Amino acid sequence: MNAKNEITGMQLFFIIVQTQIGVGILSMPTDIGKIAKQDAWISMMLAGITVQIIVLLYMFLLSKFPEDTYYGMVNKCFGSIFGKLIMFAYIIYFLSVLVVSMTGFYQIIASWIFFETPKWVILLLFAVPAVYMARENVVLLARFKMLISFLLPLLFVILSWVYFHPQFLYLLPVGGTGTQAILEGIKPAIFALMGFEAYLFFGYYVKMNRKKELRKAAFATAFVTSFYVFTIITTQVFFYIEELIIVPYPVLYIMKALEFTLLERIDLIFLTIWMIIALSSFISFLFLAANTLEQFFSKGKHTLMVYISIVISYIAALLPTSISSMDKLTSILLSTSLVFTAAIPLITLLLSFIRKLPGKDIKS
Amino acid sequence: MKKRFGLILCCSTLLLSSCWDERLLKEIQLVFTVGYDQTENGEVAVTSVVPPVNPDIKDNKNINIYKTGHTLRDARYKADLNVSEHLDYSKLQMMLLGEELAKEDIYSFLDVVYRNAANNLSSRLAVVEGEATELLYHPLRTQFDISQYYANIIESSELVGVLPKISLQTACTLMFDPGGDLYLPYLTYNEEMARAEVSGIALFNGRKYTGTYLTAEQGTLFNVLMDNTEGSVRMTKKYTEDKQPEVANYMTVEIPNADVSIKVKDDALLTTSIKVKLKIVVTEYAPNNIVGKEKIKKIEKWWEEELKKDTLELTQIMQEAKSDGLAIGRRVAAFHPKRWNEKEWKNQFANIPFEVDYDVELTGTGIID
Amino acid sequence: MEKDNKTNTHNPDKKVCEFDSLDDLFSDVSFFLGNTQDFIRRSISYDDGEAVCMYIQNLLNSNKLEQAIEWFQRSMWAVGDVTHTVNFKYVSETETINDIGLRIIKAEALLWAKKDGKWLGVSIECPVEHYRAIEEPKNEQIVRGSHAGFNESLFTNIHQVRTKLRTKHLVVRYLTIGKESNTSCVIMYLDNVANQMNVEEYIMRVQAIESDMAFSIGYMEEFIEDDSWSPFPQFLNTERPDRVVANLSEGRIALMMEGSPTALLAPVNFFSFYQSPDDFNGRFLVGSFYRLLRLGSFLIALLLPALYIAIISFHFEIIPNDLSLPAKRAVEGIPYVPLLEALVLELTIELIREAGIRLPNPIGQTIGIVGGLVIGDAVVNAGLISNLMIIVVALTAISSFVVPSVEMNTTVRILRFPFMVLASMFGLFGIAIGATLLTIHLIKLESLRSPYLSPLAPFHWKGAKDLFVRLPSWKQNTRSADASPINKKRQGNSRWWTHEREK
Repeated sequence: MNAKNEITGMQLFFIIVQTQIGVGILSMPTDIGKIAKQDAWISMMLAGITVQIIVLLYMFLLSKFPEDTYYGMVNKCFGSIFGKLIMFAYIIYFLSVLVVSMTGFYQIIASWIFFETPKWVILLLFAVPAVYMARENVVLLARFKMLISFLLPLLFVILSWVYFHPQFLYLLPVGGTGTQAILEGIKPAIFALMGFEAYLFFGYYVKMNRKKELRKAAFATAFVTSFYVFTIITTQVFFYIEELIIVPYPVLYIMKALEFTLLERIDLIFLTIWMIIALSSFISFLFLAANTLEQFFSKGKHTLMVYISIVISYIAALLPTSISSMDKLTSILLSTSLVFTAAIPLITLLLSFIRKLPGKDIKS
Repeated sequence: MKKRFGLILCCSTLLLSSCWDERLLKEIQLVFTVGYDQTENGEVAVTSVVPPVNPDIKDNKNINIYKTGHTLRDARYKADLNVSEHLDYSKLQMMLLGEELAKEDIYSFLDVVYRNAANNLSSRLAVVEGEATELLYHPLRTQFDISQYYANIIESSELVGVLPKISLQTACTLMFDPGGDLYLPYLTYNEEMARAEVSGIALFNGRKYTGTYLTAEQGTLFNVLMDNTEGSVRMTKKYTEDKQPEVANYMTVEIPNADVSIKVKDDALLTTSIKVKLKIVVTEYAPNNIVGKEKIKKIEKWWEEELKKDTLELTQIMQEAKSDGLAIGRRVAAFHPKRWNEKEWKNQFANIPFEVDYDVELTGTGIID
Repeated sequence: MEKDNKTNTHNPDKKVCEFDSLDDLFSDVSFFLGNTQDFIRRSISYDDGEAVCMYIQNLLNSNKLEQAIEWFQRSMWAVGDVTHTVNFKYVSETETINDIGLRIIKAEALLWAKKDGKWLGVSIECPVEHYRAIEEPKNEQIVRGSHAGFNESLFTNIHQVRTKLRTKHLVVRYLTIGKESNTSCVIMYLDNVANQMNVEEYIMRVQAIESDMAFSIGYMEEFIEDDSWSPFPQFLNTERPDRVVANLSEGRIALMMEGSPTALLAPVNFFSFYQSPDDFNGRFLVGSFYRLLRLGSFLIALLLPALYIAIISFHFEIIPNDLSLPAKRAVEGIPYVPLLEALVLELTIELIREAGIRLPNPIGQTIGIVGGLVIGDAVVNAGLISNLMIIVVALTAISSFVVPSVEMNTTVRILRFPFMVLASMFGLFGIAIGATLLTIHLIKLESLRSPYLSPLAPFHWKGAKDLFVRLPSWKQNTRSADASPINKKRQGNSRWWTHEREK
């Protein structure tokens, strides 16, 4: 059963959702709110539309080359030397994504639960289950994502408590921050949606009813966007915008303030559960990093590549010590990420048209 | 097999290390109530009330720890020098602010509470007449544990609709919101009963206590205006003058439902209209005989007049104190963003004309007429 | 050995027809069986010849054998031939000493006669039937439903299944495992439901066993299961025929073994361990409720002590306000760290349990009371362990015994220790890491190459619905997909008459 190495559209959907939603959601409302103020949700929606267009581009690319992995396409279009170079760039990209998400994870744990536990321990705890999962094939990965997705509604359920005493006035006036700010807010919003590139890589494994199933999975970003919009609106009817800006993890902060009779400090419980979701996103990137390495060396063993990637990123994550240097790395990574998620696939598509590669003929 | 061994080795290194962030419940002192004051030389005085751990120790055996320091944290650390176990504020239920301290920018005192992840954001806040420390050292005649007593009286006052519910978190939002002002319970000490008393709502201007507070009756009205009628809100007013005994002159009503709409008009002075639809139920009125449409109409009319008068009085008090507790500013910012000026708002607010309109409907009289 | 045999002319491959006399044959067979002293030779005379009957005394019912021999003598005298009956079978003279020896070991009596220079061989079966009566299995008791259980006889066990499933599709396959013990096993499945791939896989695994002994089915399980390092059982053990029948009709395959009252069912998923025949015998609300309760008990048994440790030593903020002071008072002055406290108490409970099993019933109960009440009370009074911890551990122990399957029960009890250790080191975070590892492990795990967490991962909406609620039986029209049955449809619409009445 596993030998087929094949996933369904629904599984791809959840792989993408789980790659996009990570620790980012906990701080995302602040990041966007800093720029777009009370109109952050509009920025988010616009970003969602942008990303959706990119995903459609991916879909087009995937159906043009139904037999190839993404790197196969790149190699075909750019030629093998440039192809290798691009693959190498992707390796660097994925490894730095791993480093950044590890550090982001550590920061949230260190500022919220474990103030004194050393970084290497927390990261090790994070890395062990990630390796354990990422070693496996894509089918098991998809099963894991699907199972973990049952945790997603938890955020929704807990946050709905806010709507007992909402301050909808904080959302008004709609569009009050001006078009300029809203457009600028799209940038952090797209970064929050990062992970949609998983579509490009995991789309290869969808083989049965390819077109229909791929279309199904394309809605993942729409789902994530609506999930994010809900989160942003919830945080904004709870916090006054000036307060939101100084709270780095507004979602957790809301939960910290909510009162339940059975348990208090629901944020601690939520954070530990959410950690599994963050882990799931990390696993996707670890899998992709190993996968890229594997194809880079043409005949690498997947398990070995997972070990290599985790060791490199673990050591790299331990190196930078100050928050500011990490932030710098994050911002560099985020701005270059558009090159990898949008520019290169677009160029690939254009090149395939220019060079008139026979991709389409095979299909028809 | 080698891999498994490696994995086990990795995990066992974790076992060797100790537990860094361990905070054993048995090794800390829970602080439920804390009082903050400002001393003459500008330091902060912190009084922490620690409940007795042994349940056999009866009341008034709470341990009060008084320490001063340059910041709250400083004072708290110093307090640890006097306690056998570490003092922990993460289960804090009540925070009392001395009057002098409240007149300063209280956010600078509370910053630590918001900054530290271990703190309890649903704890209550109150302003104390005089010094918080003094209040905490007063003897209390209560069956309950003193450390939980203050949180409980606040809760019971919320229940009867005298106080709106304000936790540390909601206070923080109000402190940041320029279009609405903070209000906190105001506590005094009643010498005769030897108990603390909620005597109203302290009004803030920005982050500073204005020195004025609403009385308990005005607090109830304020609650109605804030559309906060979840508890049992009751009002008592003198309906007639001449009945005997004196009790018979008074009528008590309960307000099960209020529908408040506050609208700001876009005119020169930002005239604000407050329209309130009230449903009231008479719960006590000795002369009985509330029968007939006309009589009911009359009572409704009378209540409308009385409430309008009280409301105008209330808004006037708030305007004089420059305390925008009703969050008129938020509405200006939301609906008339062009008119909104964050810096000038307080002066503008002081001059807003209010149009108050009540629509009272008597829906019930209990099980007798 | 072989060389030895040849020099002594004791060749196990020598055929019967190559022997000259009965004495030679007997002595060779006797040698083959190691000259064992319970190997008996009986000389019999019939009309015009001499015959010898050889058997192992302890394997046969002597009364029946006597009757059989008498019958043989009479029919030979009257007819000159024996009729084939259930008990009588001709044995070819070309069988070797080896074959004969195996027959004798398998409780046949062999009767050899030499007549006109030709060998006449008859095998007589009259096994001893000293088996336990059919009674309800002690470890799988239920309230309603059939109270029959398997016993140690393969014959009666198959009988019990057959009588419940009188269909031409029930296939029984005999296999022999154990080079020395020669234990007969049986694989049963419904050939119109069970996936042939699974059947072949199962048979292949059983045949691949290269063990000399086959003590019990639990011992064999380790040879054939998918992952022996996993703490989770991948084959469902049951001693209940009704459970076996229900699972067979889901497309699962049962393995049974002579001498073991247990059937090994595969492929199974995690949730089948939490189902009991009681679910199906009760009403649907009750069945669903108890099914949910059992799944909840899995979480409680696994995580409750760990959660308690995590909260008491890391995150006491979680305790609600009104409970925080009582909790603080309860743990005040306990000399040990919560982990040690919990370990001591958990191990005590395990001790009580282990002691209770070995002891006869009345004493077992006494041990339970002494252990539970006296130790529990004394330990709190002595201030060694907090009374909250007693509540937690007791609740955990009760929850862990809710599981209808013994193996899963032990699994859960073992697994909570790593969780406790993780909780004591990293609090809730540690528990989450542990839970993730466990989830990943369960996702990877397979039972006879079918995913172990089947209706959840991979997710099937229909199957997942059945996990938590047990719909009325006429609603469950399709078989669950985890055993990948060939025939998905279980039943049609049985309640068409509900609409008839309206007409």
